[in-house]
Amino acid sequence: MSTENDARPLLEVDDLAVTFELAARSWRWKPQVLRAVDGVSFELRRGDSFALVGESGSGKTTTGRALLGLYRPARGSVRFDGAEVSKLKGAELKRFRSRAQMIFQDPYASLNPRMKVGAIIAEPLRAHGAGSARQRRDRVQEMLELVGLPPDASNRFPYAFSGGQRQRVGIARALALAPDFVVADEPVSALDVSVQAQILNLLADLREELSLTMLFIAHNLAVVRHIATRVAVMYLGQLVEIGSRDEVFSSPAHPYTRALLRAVPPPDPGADWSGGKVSLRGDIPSPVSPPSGCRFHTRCPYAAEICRTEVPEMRTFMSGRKVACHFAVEGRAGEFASRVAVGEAPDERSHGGVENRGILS
Amino acid sequence: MIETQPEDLSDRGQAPALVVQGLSTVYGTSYGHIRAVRDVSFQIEAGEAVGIVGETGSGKTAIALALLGLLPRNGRIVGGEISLGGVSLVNASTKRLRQVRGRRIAMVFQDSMTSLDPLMPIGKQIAEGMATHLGTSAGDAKQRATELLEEVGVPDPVTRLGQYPHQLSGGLRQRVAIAVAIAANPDVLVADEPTTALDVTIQAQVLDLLERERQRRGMALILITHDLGVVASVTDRVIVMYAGRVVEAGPTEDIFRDPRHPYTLGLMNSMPRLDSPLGVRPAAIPGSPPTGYEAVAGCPFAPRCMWARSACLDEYPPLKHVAEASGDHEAACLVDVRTEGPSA
Repeated sequence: MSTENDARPLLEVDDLAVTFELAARSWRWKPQVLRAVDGVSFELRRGDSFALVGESGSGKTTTGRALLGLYRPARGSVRFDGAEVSKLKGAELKRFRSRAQMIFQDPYASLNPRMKVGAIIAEPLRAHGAGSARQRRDRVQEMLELVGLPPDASNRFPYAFSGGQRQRVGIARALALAPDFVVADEPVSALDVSVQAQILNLLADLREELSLTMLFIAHNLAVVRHIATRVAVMYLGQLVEIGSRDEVFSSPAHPYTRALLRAVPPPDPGADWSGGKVSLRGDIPSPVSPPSGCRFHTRCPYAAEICRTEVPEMRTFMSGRKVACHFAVEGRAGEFASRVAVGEAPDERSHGGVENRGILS
Repeated sequence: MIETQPEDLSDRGQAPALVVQGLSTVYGTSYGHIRAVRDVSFQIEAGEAVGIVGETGSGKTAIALALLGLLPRNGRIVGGEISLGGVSLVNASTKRLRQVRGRRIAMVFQDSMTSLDPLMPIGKQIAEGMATHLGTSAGDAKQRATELLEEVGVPDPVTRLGQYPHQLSGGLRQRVAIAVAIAANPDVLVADEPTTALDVTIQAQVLDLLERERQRRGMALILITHDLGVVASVTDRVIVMYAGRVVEAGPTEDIFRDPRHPYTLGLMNSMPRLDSPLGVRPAAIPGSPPTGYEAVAGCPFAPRCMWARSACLDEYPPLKHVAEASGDHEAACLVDVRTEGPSA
């Protein structure tokens, strides 16, 4: 499937914003605007396994849906294979839709309970007029085998399957048209712990086998670590850090990324986990009226005056990692320039003094 | 039953706070009976934090509901004994249960949006328990409610007192739910997936709060969860459940360092972790958890177990002390997973 120019990213997102108008509670009030996604830029190279990480309300699902053309951007652009997604029409739009598919979070809500599994998997083929009825049946069998379901599954209804098996059906449906690009929105978070690993491993295998480009949307960092090659961290509609998995997990550069990682209790009773004590104060603010300057400053232990007034630019480090923080220091991931000491002193760092790298000066 | 303040906590003596013996519950559904809890026994000491770990359908929530006499209409206790500080709760009268609930044993639910009353200001919900159980006067209760809100980390407690649950974020609501539960100083707090609906940074705050309150009040905590990380960070002891049964129980350290039941071992290995080497895949447990309708003669985990042998299909192995471990580490398995290889 992969086309002409492999050097060009499959997907280019530039300054994407998606807004929702909230219903006014009175005719006299101006409707409020919720900026779910506000100025997000990144690229997906072919074969990337890219994870969007963030807490609820960070805009990660909205971003994923906008990439598939399900929301119209209020600003910015999404280009798929060079073509602006929001401008696609007719046959081109249809072609795009067969190349970009989605796997949903909840396998109980995303499968029609009154359709047999075979019909569910064949539906995208039918909608796109792919093949004869016979070919479609063959394709369904092929897909069932691919996702590890028995051949007779096609004659049964979703209720006969467990959560993990249903998610396999959802995956088979998404892959039936042999797409290049798949958005998986929290594909395992509705599943039991013992089943999650099955689906994660299946997705990893399929991605390799079918050389898919994937966008994973997830809140569980441990899951992301096992499935992504690149990671982007979202907070309140904006990206705060993008980098390779290894970099982001071993030396997070943005204070929010660090806090997220630290907040996960390790499954090890001997570990000295102090997540509750050092983690972020307060809640994620409302995206209707986000804080000024750096949106994270209300919860950031390092916030200084500049953070309240100036929006930090997304800076690119030598390694290619990008960070939007006034104080993140290149090559000293996890360290921050020393003038930061406002409020609580930045805790617990063991490795030596940090000089001021002159970010403020 | 009704005591007044000031509360004397010193009588929380050496006797176990809670003893559960051979508990079994059944839910009647249109597809047949589900035996949600099968012959479960455990004991919780005063001030202890115990985790009950299990997946959907393992019976962990059914235990919690049975403890508080809150099983839904189609559910009932069909056997066993629950003793809370010497008071039997099985077949207890509604009046008796009302005296105990909130006072001796209280619960925090997963979803604070539905567990709090949407039509009552949160201050009133906190004061209610104190007025009912401790006979606190309205004025005192309000004062105490303000202090409690402050204690559980709700900013600006005086304003919040008059607000309704929908005006609070999920994290704050869960703090309020905790304040409601601990208002009358219960001996045992049951928290059923208290942080599952919360974001990780908020989860960390709430876990920290539960731990602080447990220590401050010397109350026992039963933490029901599917998250091994949460269990490891908060509890002293762990009970692992599968298909309504206890498959392994013991000190948290021992369970994590030296799991003896194939299911516990499988859970640990299948869990994606932040501290595992990069590139190592989680080892999935094949198959799915049972639904509870099936009649299982042998070990319910046998169909998914790599160690399973024919004897496993005949009879459910009793919970027994594991070899070469501290006294109270128990597992219900015929196989020694340390020395015997998988049979497949």
